[in-house]
Amino acid sequence: MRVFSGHKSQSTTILFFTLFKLSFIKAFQYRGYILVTLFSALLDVFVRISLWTALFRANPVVQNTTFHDMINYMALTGLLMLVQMSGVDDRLANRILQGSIATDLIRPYSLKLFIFAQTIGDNLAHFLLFVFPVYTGVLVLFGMRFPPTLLHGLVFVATVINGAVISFLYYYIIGMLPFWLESNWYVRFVNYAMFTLFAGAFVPIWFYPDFLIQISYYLPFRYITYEAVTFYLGRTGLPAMPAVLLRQWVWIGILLGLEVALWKAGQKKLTVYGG
Amino acid sequence: MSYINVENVVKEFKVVRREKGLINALKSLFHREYDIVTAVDHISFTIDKGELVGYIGPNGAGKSTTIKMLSGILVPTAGRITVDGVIPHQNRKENARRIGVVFGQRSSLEWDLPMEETFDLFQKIYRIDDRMYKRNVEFYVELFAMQSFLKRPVRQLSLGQKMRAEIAVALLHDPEILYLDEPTIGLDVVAKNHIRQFIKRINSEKKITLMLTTHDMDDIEQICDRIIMIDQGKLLYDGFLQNFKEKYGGEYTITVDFAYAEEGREVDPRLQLVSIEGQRKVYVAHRSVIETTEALRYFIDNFDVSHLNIREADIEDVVRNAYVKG
Amino acid sequence: MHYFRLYLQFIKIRLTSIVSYRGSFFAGVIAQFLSYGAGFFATWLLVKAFHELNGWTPYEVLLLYGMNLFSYALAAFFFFNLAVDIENLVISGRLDGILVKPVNPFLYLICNGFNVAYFSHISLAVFTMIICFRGLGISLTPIMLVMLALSILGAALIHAAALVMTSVPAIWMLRVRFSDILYWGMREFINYPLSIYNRAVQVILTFILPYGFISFYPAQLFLGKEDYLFHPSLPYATLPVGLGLFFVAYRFWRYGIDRYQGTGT
Repeated sequence: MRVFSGHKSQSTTILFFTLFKLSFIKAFQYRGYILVTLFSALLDVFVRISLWTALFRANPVVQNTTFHDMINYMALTGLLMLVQMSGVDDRLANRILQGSIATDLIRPYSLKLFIFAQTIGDNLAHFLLFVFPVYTGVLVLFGMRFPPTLLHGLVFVATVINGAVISFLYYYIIGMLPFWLESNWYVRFVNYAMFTLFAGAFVPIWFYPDFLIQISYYLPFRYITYEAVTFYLGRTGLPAMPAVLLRQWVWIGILLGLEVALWKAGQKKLTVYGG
Repeated sequence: MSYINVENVVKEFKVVRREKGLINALKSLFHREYDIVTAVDHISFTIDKGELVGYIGPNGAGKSTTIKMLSGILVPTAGRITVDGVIPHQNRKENARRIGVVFGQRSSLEWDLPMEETFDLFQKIYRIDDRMYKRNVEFYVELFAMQSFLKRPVRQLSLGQKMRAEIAVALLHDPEILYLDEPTIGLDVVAKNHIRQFIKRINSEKKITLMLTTHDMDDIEQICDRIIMIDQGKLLYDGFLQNFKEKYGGEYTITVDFAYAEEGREVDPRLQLVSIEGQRKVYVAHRSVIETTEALRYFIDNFDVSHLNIREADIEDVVRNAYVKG
Repeated sequence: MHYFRLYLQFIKIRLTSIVSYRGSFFAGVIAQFLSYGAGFFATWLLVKAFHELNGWTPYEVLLLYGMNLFSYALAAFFFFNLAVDIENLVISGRLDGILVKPVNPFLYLICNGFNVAYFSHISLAVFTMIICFRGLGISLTPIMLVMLALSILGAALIHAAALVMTSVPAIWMLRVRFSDILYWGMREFINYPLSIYNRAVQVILTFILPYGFISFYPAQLFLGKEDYLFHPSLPYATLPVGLGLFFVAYRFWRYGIDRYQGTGT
């Protein structure tokens, strides 16, 4: 992928870090905002811990899952927000809707890298300010799990990196939709539905009925963080590793192809109709 | 007691101080400082019924803040305002019925719909009775020549058309006073001229008291009888346009590109040299001393000139002048 | 009467606007339907996998969701614009444009905020509640229906009060999104029975931020549960709590506007 291998020259690197820093600083600008967001993140975690506590009160093990499993699942999924590239779609979509995409195309940088840098800067700031303190707090309080073997851990890292690429490409594609739509405010609602049902964002997919699980294999969402977390927790055995990695690569291929095709079509539309 | 009274009015705002850089951003998490900005600083004036007053000054002088206090949106920090005996912010709705306000840089029109719909809406807002509504819509559609774009969605109108529509909408309920905040901002020369003609006609035909803020000198020259000038919240001048022009106006700069270096040659002392940049020299002069035509002819007749440029004083020059002359 | 005519005028204007953006409008309705529907479905599946949540069956928990969404949609239908859009109104200066008109800005913004999109929330909520009552084998008597309507009205007033109150900092241009914690954050709590939380949270959500009255307490009128907490009369208290809270919220909002104009400080 161009973005991840693309530090072509020193100036690109400098641009990347400048953007990264800017996004990062922006997040620190408003004291009230930080306190409020931190507090609401705490509330959110509190609600979910209360929910899981109540659910496991009657039976300590449900579908081969304990309370402790769930806390680790929740914290890990939360921490992996770092590689969720949501925000990429709005950044790209706004440029298209407002028409500034035309000037982006004639500037001497890669738009993808530009958006990637901004998103990572934003993500990292949010991660450090909210996500990391809250979820490490949870893990310290309830006990942190480690992968059963070193190999599980390595597979975890590999699947997380693949997941980040899938996430970036997915949101980048979603962000291109305004080439053909007059607005995109409703897309995030669809995303919410998809991540709830097929990515294990709030409830792990394994609690769902079989038909939903079957569908989830044909969508990219579970390959972003869900697979990685199940390796980490040891729920997926190492024999499944090649299949999971292969599926992730297949998805990267599909999304990359789609991205290139849509980008071409979008550019054509832009030049033909003038945006 | 005059119609509009402004006595010793002050308006202060508290603004958070922001500094650049990551360290400062982090610092501001824990501690932040405020600045008190005085937007309007002890201003007094009165306006009589039927006057057309230009309220002028450079950007950020406090013009809009004054208009907002006069229309009852903002409450003065100190001082007293009455409009026809009423304190605007204490009787906001009563005052609102009597005034029309147009903010030049924002719209009160319904973006996706034709003008007619906004007219209907304003009838409901101001509870205008049907007869008066019909009469006024007809009158202003005619006066502002709006017939051609009445049925088009507002978003498709040109800036000049939109401004005409804004003014018409603000006048539907027959206000006694019209406040116009930068009515010509961003318009081209032709559209500006149209708007100026309309403003003059509203004042003379409908006898509406009119106060407009602007930082465009041409607006002032062409429509205002009386000028109130402020800068940095302070009143600098209040009086007739004629006196104003005599006192502060009439200055102009001439930029001359000489064909050859004119070393050592004396230039008419009525033209004051202010800068030299190679073969380009800039002179300042005043109309009361030497007319622009005479100055131009002087250079053309006496020197080998490759390029000449005359620029009349703009509001910034005038304000600077006002400071110098006090 | 004046505001009613104004409201009708705005309805006409909004409907005309929707026609010119109908693609986005319908896409939006479907997307919101999907999003809430997925959330409901996921919760139902989860509780089903565990059989119960602190003595509440899947349909009983889902009823909490349904009542919460119904009352939220009702409140948002009138107050979303006033509460959430106010920051834009202040920044763009359109609030000034409203203040120079001879209208009550609160009523004006309610009229201006007519938003058809909430019909999709309401229909989804009604649909969900019907599924719950059916699944639970409860048939509502006329008296229960009246109780349900009054409870939902009260709950809507609580939501409305919260929306209105959280908008006040935005009028003052404070970039603090109190709405994030006090409202959007806290809203998550009431999707589950209040009895799953510890005592402190129960006290807060009953007496300080009384969101418990949106669904947890009134739902018990129909479910025959005895998960009362504090006092058995609380399930009847939703309407009075809503009325009281809304009154306070309205006064606070007026204070917010006064301070914006520079008097309240």
